[in-house]
Amino acid sequence: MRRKVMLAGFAIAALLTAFFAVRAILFALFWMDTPPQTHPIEPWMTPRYIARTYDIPRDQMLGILGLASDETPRQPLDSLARNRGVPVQIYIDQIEALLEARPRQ
Amino acid sequence: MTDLLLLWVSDYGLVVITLATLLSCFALPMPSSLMMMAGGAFAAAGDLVLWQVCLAAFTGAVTGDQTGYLLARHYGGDRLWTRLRRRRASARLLAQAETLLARRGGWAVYLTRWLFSPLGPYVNLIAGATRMPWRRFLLADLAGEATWVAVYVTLGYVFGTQIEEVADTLGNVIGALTAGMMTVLLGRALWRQRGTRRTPRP
Repeated sequence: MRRKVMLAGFAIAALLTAFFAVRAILFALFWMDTPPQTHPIEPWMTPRYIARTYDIPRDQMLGILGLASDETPRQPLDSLARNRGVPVQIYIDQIEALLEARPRQ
Repeated sequence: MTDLLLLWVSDYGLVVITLATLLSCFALPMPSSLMMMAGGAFAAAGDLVLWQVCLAAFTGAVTGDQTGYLLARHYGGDRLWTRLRRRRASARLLAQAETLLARRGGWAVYLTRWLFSPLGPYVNLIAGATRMPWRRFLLADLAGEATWVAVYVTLGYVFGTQIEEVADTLGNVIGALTAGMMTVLLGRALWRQRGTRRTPRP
């Protein structure tokens, strides 16, 4: 009886190992396939994070967001937009348009 | 879901990272490694401070582990363990687990902090219930959590742009390693049992 339980456990563990190994390989391939700068802009990203990740010069970033002196850049796009009472998509679209417009490296 | 958690990291910063590593010590499904990586990525961008991210994650993780250990040790875990050991059905298995923990307990604790991290919460409880010396548990725990935090925060710092892809890949690698380790342990136990079966019982 105990041996049967252990055999079942062994089979399940072996299947799980194979399952996770295959998934790890698939995710790694997907990761290698995606150039860093094609990842979409998302609401959780902060202005500095976007500027660094997508290599956007500071003044262009400020041009889009127009931070007032009482607004901290240490907040995600989402809360920046919420505080201003506008949909976050406005900023995402503008940043993506900027990325589209510049020449591909 | 991940986007929401990442939003919390960028909105509330360190508190969320501490909470995530704390809760993950109680086997709650928390993408704490992704959140540590996000902390590292925000530190690289200048929105958070690197050492503070590390300290926040480390504090949460160690607090969670120690709580699990102490709860199991002082609030009935040890009594439950003694009772289970008296039952014939579970006695041998538990005795084996106890010997293993007595012999290699430090390593078990250290490696289940980061390499076999899904097992961490259970090892905390077993260590507490079997009254593993607290000092040894603490030292292995500190070293293991330091490794865990250092690895993931560094990955976030370096791979800032691709933390989600890195987290997906690594999560599955850790899953495969943990399941693989269980497969090997169970296979070894089965193999040994086969050997003892052949000899007639007295």
